[in-house]
Amino acid sequence: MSTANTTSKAEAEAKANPSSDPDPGPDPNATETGGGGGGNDTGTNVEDVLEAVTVTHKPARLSGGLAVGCGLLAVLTSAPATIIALLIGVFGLAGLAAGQFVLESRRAAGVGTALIFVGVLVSGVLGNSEVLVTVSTLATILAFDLSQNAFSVGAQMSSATDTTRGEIIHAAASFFVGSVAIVVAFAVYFVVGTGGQPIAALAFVLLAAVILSWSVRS
Amino acid sequence: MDVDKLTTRVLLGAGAVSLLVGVALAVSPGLGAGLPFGNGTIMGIGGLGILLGFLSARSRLRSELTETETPNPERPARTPTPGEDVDRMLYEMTTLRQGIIENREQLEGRLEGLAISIIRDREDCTVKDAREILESGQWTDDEDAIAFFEGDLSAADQSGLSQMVSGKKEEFEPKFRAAVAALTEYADIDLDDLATEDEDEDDEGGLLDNDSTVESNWNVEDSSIPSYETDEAFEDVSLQHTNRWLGVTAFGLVALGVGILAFNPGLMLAGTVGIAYTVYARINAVPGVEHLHVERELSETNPGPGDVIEVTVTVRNDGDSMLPDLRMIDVVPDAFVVTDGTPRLHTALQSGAQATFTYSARVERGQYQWPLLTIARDFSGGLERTSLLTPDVELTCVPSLTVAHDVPVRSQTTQYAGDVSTESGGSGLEFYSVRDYRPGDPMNRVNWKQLARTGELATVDFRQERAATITILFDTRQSAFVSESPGKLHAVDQSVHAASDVFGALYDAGHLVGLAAFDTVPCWFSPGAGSEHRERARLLFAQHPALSPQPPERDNIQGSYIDPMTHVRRRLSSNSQIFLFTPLVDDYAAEVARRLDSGGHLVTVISPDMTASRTIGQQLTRIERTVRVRYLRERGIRVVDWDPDERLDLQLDKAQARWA
Repeated sequence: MSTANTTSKAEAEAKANPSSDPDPGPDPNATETGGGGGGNDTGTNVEDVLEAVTVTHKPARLSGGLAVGCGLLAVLTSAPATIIALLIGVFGLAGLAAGQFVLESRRAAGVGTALIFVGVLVSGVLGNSEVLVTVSTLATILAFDLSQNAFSVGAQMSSATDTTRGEIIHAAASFFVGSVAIVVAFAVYFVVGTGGQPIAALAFVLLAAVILSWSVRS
Repeated sequence: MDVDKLTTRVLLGAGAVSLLVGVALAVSPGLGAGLPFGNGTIMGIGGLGILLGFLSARSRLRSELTETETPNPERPARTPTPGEDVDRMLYEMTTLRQGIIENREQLEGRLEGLAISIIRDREDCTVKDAREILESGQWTDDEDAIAFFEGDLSAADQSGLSQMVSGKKEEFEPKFRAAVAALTEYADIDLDDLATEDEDEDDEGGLLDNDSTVESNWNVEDSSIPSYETDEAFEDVSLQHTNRWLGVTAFGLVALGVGILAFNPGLMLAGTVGIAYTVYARINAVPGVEHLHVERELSETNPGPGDVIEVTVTVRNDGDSMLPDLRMIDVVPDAFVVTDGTPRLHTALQSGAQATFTYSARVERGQYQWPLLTIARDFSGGLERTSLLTPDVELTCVPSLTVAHDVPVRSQTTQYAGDVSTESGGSGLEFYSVRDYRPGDPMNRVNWKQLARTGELATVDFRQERAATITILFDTRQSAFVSESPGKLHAVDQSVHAASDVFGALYDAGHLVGLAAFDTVPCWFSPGAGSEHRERARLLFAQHPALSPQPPERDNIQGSYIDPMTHVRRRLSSNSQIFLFTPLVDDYAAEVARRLDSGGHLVTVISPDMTASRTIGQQLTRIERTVRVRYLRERGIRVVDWDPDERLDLQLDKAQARWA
């Protein structure tokens, strides 16, 4: 963020200059030397010194906003079970929003997301419904992904860049992956999980999934 | 590779076994009792899951993302303001407490030299007398200033240690300021912005806080790309995993572990979402950037320096696969400044789709072809491919050498007929003198009236008009790359812009004009005439590395010191006049002018004033420069003290009126 600061400073100075520039007044000069001919082509280039555009690297607003929205969804969906989950979630959400828009710190946003997730876990343990817990987990992970993407886009592009299309495609792809995962998981759960030992069975199936996921690398 | 393969196989085996167990348990619940483990094992798996989850989260917190850092080509290159070195020294001494003795000695020496030359100038005395006046303190009423110059000679060595110990060094800065202020007053120099000095000084301190801004002059150096110079249309820079999904497994593992421990199927299901994203992050496809087709359109391919051109870049995905996350930055050359729009694009391109972005840039002299930095990611963003795409578009920016004004030329001339009125009689237009007839004088110059009146032959002489040989000499050492405030045109740009006009004017007046620069890169273009000469000069302005808008590279300066003026002095013809363009920010430039002058050349110094007076260092540099200008004028060297905010032709007119 230090780079952004120096730009704004240089910019502030640059901004201050145009106000002083007209004072020497290129116009009266031009009329004075009208006989000189082609007076505007002289090498001083007083008028040609246009100021550069500002470059700021704030986290992308769209992804950031969506991330906070997802965080809010995660908090709301974990709220019905218990007030504790809601409290933790609200703290996490505040951290996420502050990290995103005020502090502009990846780490703060990440820690905020982690707190939201703790809230989700608490709500799950204290009896939130399966569907709501799964949805709030999805929302938490989306919040994590979108917030990180907002920082990445902000750092590599600039605030003046139109990044809407790129951000939306990224968000849509992430959302799609999570939704498919939920659908598959619930399908398996309802087909398999009606037996006598769903917990043990699920535990092993999911363990298998974790281990297998680590072996994937392409 | 083998270890990787082995790990993968082990993981696949373990995964398959636990999957089988899970399915078996699901199909026949009774089986659970027959297996050689009970609830304890399952709990263990849960605990292990949580532990692994925390480890995963921790690795995220500890690791750095490996994303490509991009440059900021929009920003103007930052050139230092004269006096920044002094401010930095003071900052180092007072805030960082570094190099106190060296900096102190250097500043004291510098200020003392300045004070002595000011006193010599005012009192018209020898160095020895000036030193006495300085040490006696007669020249000012300011006690701090007197103390500054009193102490230094005797106390510099002794006080070094004691000051380090006693921490009295804070006293240095106020004394230094007082001395500068007193000198300003004594030398009768106007520093208009003195009142606002304190506020701006704080500002400057803030600037100096982040050392990187002081060190790096050129904006593209901030990026992680090693070099933007490429000859190929497509060049891969890097292909890397971004690590942006690192730690996402934690969501899955912790949810799973807590779900197992709490016998909560909801949390276990939630864990699947985390696992799904782990897989998503690990399935990467290399983006097919090589199939991108890039076109860059310039509104003008041959603009003049300072013109603003519009650049339109169009990218089309000619490959078969989609590019889901494409980030592009047009790496506009350093000397250019983007004045409108953004040279960046962030989008997703399907096969066959295209996207466009437009921006305006102020161009500078030179020949340019620049790349487009492309950062492409796959859907998850886990893999990042960075490449440079260079469209086959070249921009050549050459000054027009238009003539806009007259340039006063001094009286050193050649034998060729020209524009400069000399102090010798001969053929010409303006009456000069009447002298005795000498055999061989042309008949049309015999003073017939006198012959008729007195019968004596006499010859009328007219003032001879001759052409001059003029060498335009640039100070393009690194120290000349300074500007009044960050982002403004630096002295070399100002000089070259002005000189291209001066060249045109002198050429049109029929003089023989040549170009030279003193720098580590030798630049010499002999004075000459003719349209070919003019055309070659035009290209030289645009393309010679010594006149480039970028500061020279400083590589082997420590090795052997070669006086940068050597090559110029060797080639300079003895009757050549000199137009010296220099910001006069150090004594060397003034010395060059003085030595050329004593070598028999008539020198006109055109010096863009790049000094500011916002900080104490800038004020000091302004005083030093003013003293240099006075020193040169005193020696009969013409100096145009040019304020770059005003037009040079007007200032030349004013100066000419003064000289005439």
